[in-house]
Amino acid sequence: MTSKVTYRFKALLISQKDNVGVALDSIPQGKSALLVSENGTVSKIVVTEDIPLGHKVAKKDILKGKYIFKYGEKIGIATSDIKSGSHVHIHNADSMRVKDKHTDDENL
Amino acid sequence: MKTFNGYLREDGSVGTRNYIAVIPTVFCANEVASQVAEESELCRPVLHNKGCAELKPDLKVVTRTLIGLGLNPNVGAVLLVSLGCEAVSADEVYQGIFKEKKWIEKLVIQQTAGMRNTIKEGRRIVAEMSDALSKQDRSPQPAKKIRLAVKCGSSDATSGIAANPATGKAVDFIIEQGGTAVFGETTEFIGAEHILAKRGRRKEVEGRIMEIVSRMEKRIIQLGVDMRGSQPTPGNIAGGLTTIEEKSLGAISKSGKKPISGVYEYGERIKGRGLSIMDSPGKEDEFLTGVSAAGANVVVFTSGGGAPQGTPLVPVIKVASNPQMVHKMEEHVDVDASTIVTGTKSINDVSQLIIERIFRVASGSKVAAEINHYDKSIGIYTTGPTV
Repeated sequence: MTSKVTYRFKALLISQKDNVGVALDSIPQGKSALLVSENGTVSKIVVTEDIPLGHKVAKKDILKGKYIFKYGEKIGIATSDIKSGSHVHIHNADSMRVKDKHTDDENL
Repeated sequence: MKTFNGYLREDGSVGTRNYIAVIPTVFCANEVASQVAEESELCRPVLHNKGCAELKPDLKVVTRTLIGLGLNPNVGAVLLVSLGCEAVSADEVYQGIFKEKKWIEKLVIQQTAGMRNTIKEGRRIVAEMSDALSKQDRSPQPAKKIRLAVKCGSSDATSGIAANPATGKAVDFIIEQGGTAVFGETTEFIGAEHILAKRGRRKEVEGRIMEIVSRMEKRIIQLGVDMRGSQPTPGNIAGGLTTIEEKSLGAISKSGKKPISGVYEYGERIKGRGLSIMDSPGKEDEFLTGVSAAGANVVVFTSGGGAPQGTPLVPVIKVASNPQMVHKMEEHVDVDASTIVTGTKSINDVSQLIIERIFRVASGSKVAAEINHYDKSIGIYTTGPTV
């Protein structure tokens, strides 16, 4: 379905494998954004929170403990359940190296 | 099949330019090299600050780098200028270049008796070289003769999402055509080295990637700096980067997705096809000099903020992605990747623009850094003390 609506807000899906998009504008809560993928195909995403410019928005639900994918690679883990359309950053995602850190603490 | 027009060399490599490299073996010979190079437009003086007063391991790197620079496919002839007493062996550098059948002459200031005599003789030699080189023509060459190096500099939030991923797809294309590509900036791998290592063609490559990162990191820690622990920085986090893996991958994305065939030391000549890593710092002049010595004949340099510099022997294509800076720094931009950030072009669209520009530049089209004559800096990466 082609939409004749011009989207004010845009986000970038760097790889088709990614589960997060990068906001190309600051997107206010509740707004729709055009999610543009690497080959130019587009889809719509509705953001459930304010997403600052350059920050990540979840393209789909990501459960706690699951990987965040960007560039088609794992860039971190969800530290709590993340709903589609929400802001993904240090409050709900962390480096995969944190897993190793926790293991070391347990052995002390 | 894609082709470009280049200068076919004796060893089968192809130059995208046809230069007379005037190479001082030591910084004491810089003034002579510089004045000799004024003789012809084809001359590129390779002025540097090494060649003496350093320890053996560093002298070895300098020697290897000077030989590599002389052997770069873009160099049609070499004039080596030595003082006569320097620690680097001018004979070794001469032989390293001569044995690969490159046209090379050598002058020793202490033998030719001073600056004026050497300049006079140097200009005579260079005039002869210039005459011969200007009669050489480009000829159609296959895409597999492209030897591409990629770098990012003056990076900002847009580099990792626009200029770098688009460049990565251009690298993939060059590799698919049978060409050669190299990237480096070892400090940028910190945090994602395990992801990078998995792309190694063989276990040995995996091991070498981990080794060069560990080695670079140890050097930094010795100075009391914890790079790994301080990344991403507060500025990065404010800008949206969440993890060190994400930051490193933003930089690494300029290398594309192909397997990594080899890991080379700084300034070492790259053999064979495919994608390689060269251990190198992010410092622009040192990286560009290193890949020139490795044999790159064209460079793509991504930037957020707009970086003006090139390098004497190899054309550097600037791909910039920050919409404000592309406008402000437009005299230094070759390919505009900010269209990805404004959502008007896709990553694939811009990668096509980069590919087209690589082939046009390889065939002789000038880059901004050449037009601006902003391409004189050479830097050789050494890690020991001067003595």
